[in-house]
Amino acid sequence: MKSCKAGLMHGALVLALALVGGCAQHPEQSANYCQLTPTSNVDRLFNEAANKLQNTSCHFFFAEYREQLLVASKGAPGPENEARFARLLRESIDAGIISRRQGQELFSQYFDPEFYSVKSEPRSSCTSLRRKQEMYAAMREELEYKREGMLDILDDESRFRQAQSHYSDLNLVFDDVEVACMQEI
Amino acid sequence: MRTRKECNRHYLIGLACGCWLAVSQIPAMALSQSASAARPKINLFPTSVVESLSETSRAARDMESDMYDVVAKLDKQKEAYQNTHCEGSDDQGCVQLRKAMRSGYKQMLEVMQSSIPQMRASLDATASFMGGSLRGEIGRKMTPGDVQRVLAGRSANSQGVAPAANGAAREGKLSKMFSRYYELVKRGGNQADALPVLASQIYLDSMQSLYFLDLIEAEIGSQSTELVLELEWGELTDQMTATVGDVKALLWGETDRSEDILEVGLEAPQQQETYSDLLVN
Repeated sequence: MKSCKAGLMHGALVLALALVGGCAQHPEQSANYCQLTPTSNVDRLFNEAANKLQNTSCHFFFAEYREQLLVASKGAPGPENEARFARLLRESIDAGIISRRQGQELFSQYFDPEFYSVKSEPRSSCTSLRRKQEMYAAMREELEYKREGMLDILDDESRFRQAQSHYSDLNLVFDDVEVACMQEI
Repeated sequence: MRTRKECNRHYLIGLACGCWLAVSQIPAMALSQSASAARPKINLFPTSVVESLSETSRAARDMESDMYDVVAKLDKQKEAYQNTHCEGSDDQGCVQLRKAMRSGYKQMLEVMQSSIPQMRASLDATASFMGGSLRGEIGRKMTPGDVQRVLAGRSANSQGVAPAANGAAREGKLSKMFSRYYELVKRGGNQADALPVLASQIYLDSMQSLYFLDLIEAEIGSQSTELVLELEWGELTDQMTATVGDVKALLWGETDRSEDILEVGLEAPQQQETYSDLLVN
């Protein structure tokens, strides 16, 4: 009876160790699986990322993929990169990796001449402009993303000029509206 | 009893028809609401603003034409003074030139001083009306996103306003600036989407002109007594030269910012229907 009990405990211990070992090994395997194969072919890299993101264990690699794809597409700038990013973001939204809002934010920050940080401000201009410095800082940061997206990735100078034009027009109008709002106080 | 039943039936039919009618109107209402929401309506240039712009332009033109000859004469005298190395010289001609320069400077201050009240009143009115318009129409009625939407949706084209003429010699910066603003505001419909920028530019220029006017007036106040005392002798001091510079910058400054407005929004916005799901309105 005693040896039977000891045998049972031994068996349970072996099973537990096997399970723990299995669990510990799994992330390493998926990490290896989820890595993108280095290549200068941007199309292939986007396809690989899209394929790997279909596997739920690779969802956590989304941010890493995004960075890698940004770097890779800078090596082959052109208008087709916009569609590649759009497809990846749509698939990521559909797969539930990112929310629609996050997808829109990412796409807008890089490829929309208008400013997402301005669009996401829900209050009136007078109220919003009380935190003008924060809004301007967000716009400056976004303009950097746009430079990256429009010049380095799409090679679309006219679109970036449009973004710059928005930037300066918004600055001008916001500065004056802020003064006008403050004069009433 | 039967009558009552019939009444109830009619009432129910009427109610159903009413509901159906109301429901059928929802898509139309939603459509019109979304259309109006897409493009916020603003009226940045009520009649008061247009009239004050016209008045400012006229006041500036009057001041410039009064000042032009005086400042041109002063410039010539200064140039002659420098070219003949009169600085520090007791030569009779140099003394005369110095005297003439001081007299010219005094005349400039007097003309300026007499023009300032009307100009200030007019600029004050423009700045005040424009500030009220910006505050009410943009500051309170619109979110920053609305402002961006208006700017992005502009459909201005180069036919809207004739290119700036490279000026008649006597046309100064200030009057040119405000008369062009007046012209742009009058023709506002052609570039309606750039109007927030135009309004901001007018407001900014009015405020800056007022600031210059204050500086000049303060200078005039501090210099006129000194000038009367030293009219016969001394040269134009650095302070006086700076005042002449300020006056010239105000009236005939190199940069005409109203022309920049013409460049704003001339590019047609790109329609990115393909990515509409990834863009926020």
